[in-house]
Amino acid sequence: MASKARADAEQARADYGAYVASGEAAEPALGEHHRLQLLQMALEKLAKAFLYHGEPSGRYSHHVALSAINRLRSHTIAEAAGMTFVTFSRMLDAAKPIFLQIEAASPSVGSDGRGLTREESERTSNVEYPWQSDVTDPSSWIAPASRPFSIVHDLRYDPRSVRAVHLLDRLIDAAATVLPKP
Amino acid sequence: MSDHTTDNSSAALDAVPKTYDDAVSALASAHAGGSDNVDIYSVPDPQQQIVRLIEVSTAFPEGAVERQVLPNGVERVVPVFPMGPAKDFPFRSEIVQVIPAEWEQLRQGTLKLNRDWGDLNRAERV
Repeated sequence: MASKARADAEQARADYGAYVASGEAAEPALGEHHRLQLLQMALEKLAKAFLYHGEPSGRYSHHVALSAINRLRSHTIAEAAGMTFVTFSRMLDAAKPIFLQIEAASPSVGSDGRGLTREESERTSNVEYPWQSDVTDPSSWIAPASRPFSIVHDLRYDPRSVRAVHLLDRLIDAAATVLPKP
Repeated sequence: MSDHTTDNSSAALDAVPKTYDDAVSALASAHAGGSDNVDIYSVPDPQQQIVRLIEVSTAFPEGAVERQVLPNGVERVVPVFPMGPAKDFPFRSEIVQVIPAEWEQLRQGTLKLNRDWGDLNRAERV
């Protein structure tokens, strides 16, 4: 048994592990959108782990990643992540826009971190549900499986994005260290 | 020149604060050093063990969240984010991040934290 915060951190580790494992096979086992969904789920669970640490009964439905990132600038979390505070702060600043892009892969979150209504969600690209590119055209629905996501390319080739994913990995480890055990 | 300035700034942030006042200043400086424009207030801990900061910025999302109150109610509170000490920061910390309108509500008592920090009107700008 675990606290809500630690349970989310544990699930973040499992989601991140599935993301990594799905990228290691010689032949891709998952579509890019499914891998991005795993990463988005890991980020969401990590962010909620830290937010529930502050208020376990809180309802966090929007700006989840941004709210958490803003609160992570801590010497204790830096230490648990194996970095000096200054290095950690710089990495957080650099990772923030990448994390927001990953978060926006969710069907319920806009590119600015805001929670989306169902109608908005059905017109916004995401990794889980089809969306409609033109509300006046009933044949303009797009399946996530049929569409490349630019962030996926960045996660593989852009050094800043690669570092952001490594930071996510370290933050999941840090959560397991700093979040109190019940 | 700028590298030298950055190095000095980094060294200051990496220095281990030895007193409570140093710790308040160090953490406030660190949190004010990001890209967002942030006003920071300290709510002193009488025991001088916990650095308590209220950070106010238009760049933040709303800080208050709804939480369930038994049996069927809901209330809005601002979560305090607590963290233990580290080797290079030997003090506990509690951080609150709100937008300006919420900071006004907190001072007026129409919005509350999820921890008792006493009278927030004694907060001192850092």
